[in-house]
Amino acid sequence: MDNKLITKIISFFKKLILYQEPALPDRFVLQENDCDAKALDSGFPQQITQTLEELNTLLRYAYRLEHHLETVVATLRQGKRVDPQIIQEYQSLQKQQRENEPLQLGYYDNSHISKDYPVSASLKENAIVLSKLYHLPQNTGIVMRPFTIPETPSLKAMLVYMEGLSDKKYITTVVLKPLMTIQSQKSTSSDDAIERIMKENIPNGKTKKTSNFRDIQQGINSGSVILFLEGFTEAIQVDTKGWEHRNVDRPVFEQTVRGPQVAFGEVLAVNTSLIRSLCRSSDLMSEEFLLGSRSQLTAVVMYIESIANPSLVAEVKRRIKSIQTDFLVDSDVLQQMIGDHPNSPFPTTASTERPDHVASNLSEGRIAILMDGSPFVLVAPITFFSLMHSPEDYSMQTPYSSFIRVLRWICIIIALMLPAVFLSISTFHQEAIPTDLALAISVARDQVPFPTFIEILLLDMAFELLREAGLRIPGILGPTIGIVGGIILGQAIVAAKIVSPIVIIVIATTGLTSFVIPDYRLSAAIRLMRFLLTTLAAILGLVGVSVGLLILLLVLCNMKSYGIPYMAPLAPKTITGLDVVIGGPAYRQERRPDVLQAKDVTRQPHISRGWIEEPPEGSDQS
Amino acid sequence: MKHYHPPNMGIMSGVSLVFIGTAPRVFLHQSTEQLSINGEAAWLGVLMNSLCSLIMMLIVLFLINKLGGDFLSVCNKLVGKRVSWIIQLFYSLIFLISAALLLRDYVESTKLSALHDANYQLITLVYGFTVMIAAYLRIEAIARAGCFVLPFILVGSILVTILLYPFYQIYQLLPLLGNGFKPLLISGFRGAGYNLLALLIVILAPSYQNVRTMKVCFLWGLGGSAALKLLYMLVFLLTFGVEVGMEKILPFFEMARLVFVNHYLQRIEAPFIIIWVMFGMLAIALSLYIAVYLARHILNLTILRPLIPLLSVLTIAISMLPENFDQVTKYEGLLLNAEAIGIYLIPLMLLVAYFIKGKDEKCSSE
Repeated sequence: MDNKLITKIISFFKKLILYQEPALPDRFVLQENDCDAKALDSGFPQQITQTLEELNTLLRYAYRLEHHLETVVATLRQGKRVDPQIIQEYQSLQKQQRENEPLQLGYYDNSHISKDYPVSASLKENAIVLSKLYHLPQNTGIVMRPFTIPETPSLKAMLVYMEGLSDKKYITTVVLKPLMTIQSQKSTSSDDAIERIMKENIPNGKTKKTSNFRDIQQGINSGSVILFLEGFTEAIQVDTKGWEHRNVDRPVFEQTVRGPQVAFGEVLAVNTSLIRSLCRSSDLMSEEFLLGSRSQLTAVVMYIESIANPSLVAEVKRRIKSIQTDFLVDSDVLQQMIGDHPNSPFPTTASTERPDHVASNLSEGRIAILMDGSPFVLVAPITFFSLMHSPEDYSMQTPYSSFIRVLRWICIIIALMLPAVFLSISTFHQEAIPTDLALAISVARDQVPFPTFIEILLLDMAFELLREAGLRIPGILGPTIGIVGGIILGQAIVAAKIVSPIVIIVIATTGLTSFVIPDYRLSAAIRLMRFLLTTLAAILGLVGVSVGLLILLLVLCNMKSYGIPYMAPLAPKTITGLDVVIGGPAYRQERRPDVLQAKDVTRQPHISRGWIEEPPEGSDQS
Repeated sequence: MKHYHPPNMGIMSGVSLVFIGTAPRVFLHQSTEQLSINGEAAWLGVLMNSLCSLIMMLIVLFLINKLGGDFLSVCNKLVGKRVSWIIQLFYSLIFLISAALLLRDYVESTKLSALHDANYQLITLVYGFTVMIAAYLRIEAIARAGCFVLPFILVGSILVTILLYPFYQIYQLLPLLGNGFKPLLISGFRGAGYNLLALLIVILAPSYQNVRTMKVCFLWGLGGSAALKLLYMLVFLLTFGVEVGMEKILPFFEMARLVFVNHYLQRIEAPFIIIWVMFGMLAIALSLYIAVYLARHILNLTILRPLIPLLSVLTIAISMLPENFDQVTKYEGLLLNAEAIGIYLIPLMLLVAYFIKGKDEKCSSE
């Protein structure tokens, strides 16, 4: 026992004296984009990729043709009649041959499939195009269901839809079941087969034909199901929208007067669909990870592939993949596992229950991390300034929302510093206050037996207790007990001359302002720092406050959120839209935040409101 | 083991570092000293020493532009490894002593202005601990914190100068040449030593994109600090004049204390305590950090952080050596001479070495 204690003491002093830098790799820093270099290099390899893709397409066609010829030869050798299935396959091959003409292939650049790419007669080719458009198999949101229509001859088909956006039950009842139990004797190889299927076999009012992938993507992203048929250069789009909306719930912690009133729930698929319903982009990626060897819960990383920085995405995925634990059930616990500064009270990810908040962050190039069973979605990376934004800021008129933002900043300063400054001035620097006020404070404190520091500490602790108790007491009783408790306790404590009335005003104002901070965890961090500053103020007055503030500022400036500086865009100074403290109108938000190093920096052109440059209809130009 | 890499920094960070490194004495007794030497021409002295330091920095930048690398590699190439080692040791010691004396200065000023009854050792320890944390978090954090503090300093300074408007007496600037041309010239040149810490930009040259970036940092940083010093000196003269001004130990504190707009806006020195303490701590941390950075080079170490607690303790110990405020002022006078060598003699020696052998491509430490 003694030996152990002595060894511990020796090793403690050894550690203290012989300091050694921990053997950790350098921390992740998001590097700036090298767009210009990429632009210079891009010409030659792209051509090669395009040629390779063309060759691959032709090769796939050749394999299919070879297989068809082998079937025909085998049938003829057996002396059988050529059945309609073979004729249908032959017609499909003929159509595909027309698609594969060199000029056509050159026009539609396969390596970067454009939205106008036409539907192929081959199901396999269509599946390949969709895989490229939706980045399969990494993107787990899209469902591709091949099946056979039992007509004469039988017809291969494929259904494609977005999970969470389409109603699965409706698809089974209205599309899949009628087609799989079809009893028609009419030939499916005829050109009017699509028209016939639409009229006779799909009992849905909103059905239409589409022939290019622009319409197909729009359909899939809006919740429609797409039916591809082998041998046809058109597909059928059936409206099967069925994502969750409004009936989920209202936000509890992020309530707003304006803007959407939907909040996430505990079901992962519902949460992803809520985000997808607000951001209907084809390259909105969702990648799944299984977390916890025993809890086995799914986490989904969502980002917009054409905007988010690839290094950032890779870093977030790397951190999630590296987690080795048996039980992980909440997104906030996940944040502790992957965050840059888990010991800091300041959050390095935003945690929100609002889909609109997540969608707007995704559009800026940030990444959302969802966890099954958690109604809070993590958004990373973030800065201190973005934590001070509320979703409502964008729903109000900009002058008012800017005013509210400035008020919020004043509140954060009050919440952090008011007790410390009051303590300093009333104890150390009385010359800073007018004589009348100094006398009023002195009279109020006349019969109080404690020093101001103890007064502030007692009341601040009592306030925190009331706040915590209000949260734990269920239902409507919580706030009521908070208010009643506050009033009774306040009156009693003044009557008992334990604290002076002016300290109650100081603490009440401080408490009130701390609730104005939009992010709950940031508010908690500020409250914690307030205690530290008050203690320093009790020792060295305003000098102590100054020292505390400087250390806080230095720590914040040293922090990073997933490789980006926490205090950006002010320190370091980076280019940003009019959306830091003062917010600008939507049409002035031309760039994405520079600090995120997004692939596509421009959000909208310099003049996004085209109508201001156009004359009104019917006006005389002269 | 992690190797130390200088961080990437931008223009704003560079400007704030130069500003913080060259302007902290504006809140101390520098203005009073200038006033006692140059009289009414004190503001001209400030202008001269800022211009001299800017010219010397541009000379060092010229050498870096021609030879590449940073200030230390330029020394290696032009005067050889041994002399370069001595130069680095010289600068490291100067920055360390400067940090210690600045720390003592701030402690004494705090006692005089904000905490009359506090124990100076307690204040020294608190300041020393803060400086150690700042240096431990490295130059990036110091620069970024500087970016935040800078606007408050500028706004605060301008506010004080505006609010003092009723006390201005223009004739107190006359005669323009004050105590004469000779003391003006000597103090003007010698005072450039106060700006020695601006050299940090070229010492940390790999952190900046190119020579142009460094030049912009010098121009704005030194220009900004010169403007602030000039403004304070002029307002100090206009408000107090030479005779009364020479009696004031802390000019900025006295100016803020003089403000009287109405019953509710008077004696605003207390809020400024927060700003000038933060500014002073950042400046001391910066000086200490550069001393540690150079010590790392001298000792050829791969890492930097283990030296910081050690040199912080040394700084605190040195700062406690002077017996009283007079001794601090005396030592600061001696240090200013050494700083003048650092800002004039060594860069000029390097320039001469460059013209003698530097143009030759083989010029290297070998």
